Amino acid sequence: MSEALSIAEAGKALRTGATRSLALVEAALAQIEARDPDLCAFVGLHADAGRAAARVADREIAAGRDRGPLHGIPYAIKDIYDVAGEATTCHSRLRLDHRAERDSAVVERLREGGAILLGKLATHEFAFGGPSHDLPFPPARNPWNSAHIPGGSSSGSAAAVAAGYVRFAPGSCTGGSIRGPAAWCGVVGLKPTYGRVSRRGVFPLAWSLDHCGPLAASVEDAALALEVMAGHDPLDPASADQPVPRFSATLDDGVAGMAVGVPRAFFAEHPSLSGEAAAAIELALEVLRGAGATVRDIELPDLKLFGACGRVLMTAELFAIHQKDLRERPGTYGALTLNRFALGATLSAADYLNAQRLRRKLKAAVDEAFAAVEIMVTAISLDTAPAFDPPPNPAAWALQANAFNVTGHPAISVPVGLAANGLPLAVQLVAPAFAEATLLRAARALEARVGIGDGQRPLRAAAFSGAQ
Amino acid sequence: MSERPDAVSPQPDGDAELAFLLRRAGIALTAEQFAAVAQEWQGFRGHVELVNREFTAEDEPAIVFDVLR
Repeated sequence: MSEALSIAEAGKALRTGATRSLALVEAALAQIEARDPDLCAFVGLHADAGRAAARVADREIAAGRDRGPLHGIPYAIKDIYDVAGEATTCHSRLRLDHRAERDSAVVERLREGGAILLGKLATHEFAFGGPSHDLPFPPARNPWNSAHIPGGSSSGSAAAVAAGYVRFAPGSCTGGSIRGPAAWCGVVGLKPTYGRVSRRGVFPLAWSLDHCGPLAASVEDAALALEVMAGHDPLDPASADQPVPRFSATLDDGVAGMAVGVPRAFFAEHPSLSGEAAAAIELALEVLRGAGATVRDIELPDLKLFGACGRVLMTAELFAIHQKDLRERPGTYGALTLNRFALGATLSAADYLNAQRLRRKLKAAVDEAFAAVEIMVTAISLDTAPAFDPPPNPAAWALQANAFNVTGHPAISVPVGLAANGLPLAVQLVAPAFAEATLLRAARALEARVGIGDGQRPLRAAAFSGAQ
Repeated sequence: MSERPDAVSPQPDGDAELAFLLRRAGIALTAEQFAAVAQEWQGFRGHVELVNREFTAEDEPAIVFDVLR
């Protein structure tokens, strides 16, 4: 299969007999064999299981049994999602002996939908500590330039999609871990509304901030993946009992008349914002105006409040999860993970509760802003992905994402083009709670006019000439 | 309760305070690990200060006791 075939195109080809799921899988495995020794996106490849599942899919499709848009489509998944019988290592020495007893909810849905799992993908340790070289597996690398990081913590998911192994790969997002790596790897990263996708069977980083969602080669691919991944799960206490629309059905409805808000204070004066990243945002706004949207600046609370709120909530919750292991075997963690996890010991109950009080106010402020606009456009990558050397400091990463983990609103990262150094740039769109259909429609309108090209890299790149 | 005129507010001593908090949590680190955590704590403390703002009693946390619903 050409890596340019979208999920929908591959689905058509499967149903007409122009291709077979086994052929898609073999093509993916060939790509993985050729490129992954350098990119290290995979921590566990399930080639034989993938082939077996593909043969089943081919028989079912030939017999007229149609499980939906992902039937016969290969994917891979971040190694914090349980897959029955396999280790969920979370990229940690603490979990190498783990075996999942049952599939996570997302894997259950994807299996029921006929998608073909190829294996487990690299992450940062426990979805937080990385990239790091003191973990049981090497960190994933950026397919655009393997001397650069892909971002994280859904690092392997972003790399696997950007490298063309698979068209989609579920990731997770607690403070930007879907949109950040998507932005830096030039793919689409969708963090749905909190509760839209079940977290059951996903090792938690922070219960009230964890979101599950797809990274994908295109907006349409992300929409189709979300259609299958999303849905109420009574076994996830945070799962939202909301109907799941066919997100792909309204993708091409356009943005004529759509009111777009820009919280310019989030990024305009940020010291890390490069000229090219600023130009990328302005280009995105110009594109949306050209497509009929109206654009205006809006006010939101200081971004630092969102950042602080998210860090305190995350640190308190992850500390509760890891407290026993931090006491009993702190040295088994990677150094970066330990540095950040141990901070939970410095927090009081009042600190956590005050962060939750602030959270309620911040969510209300964003909801109020959405009374006047349908979509927000803001930064995600303030600059391109840093290099592995010198070791990048995650606290200083030029990314803005965690605001909408704090508030739970759906948000998506859409590639807008390549910087002069050949690395991707992106913008972030945000929608009201459960308005993923609107979000995807706007993202599609943007992608149709700028970007890196659906499955073809680096064609249709818009190189920016903004001064650094 | 009357105020104690001889009461002294504790002065923050970063490393000692962090050592106390880690000890209270039962976490024992090597000197090198402690130094790294202490460095990370410098930036983290700013986040904690920001969330501890002025609230009124009516400002409820975004936590709902929902298990009975």
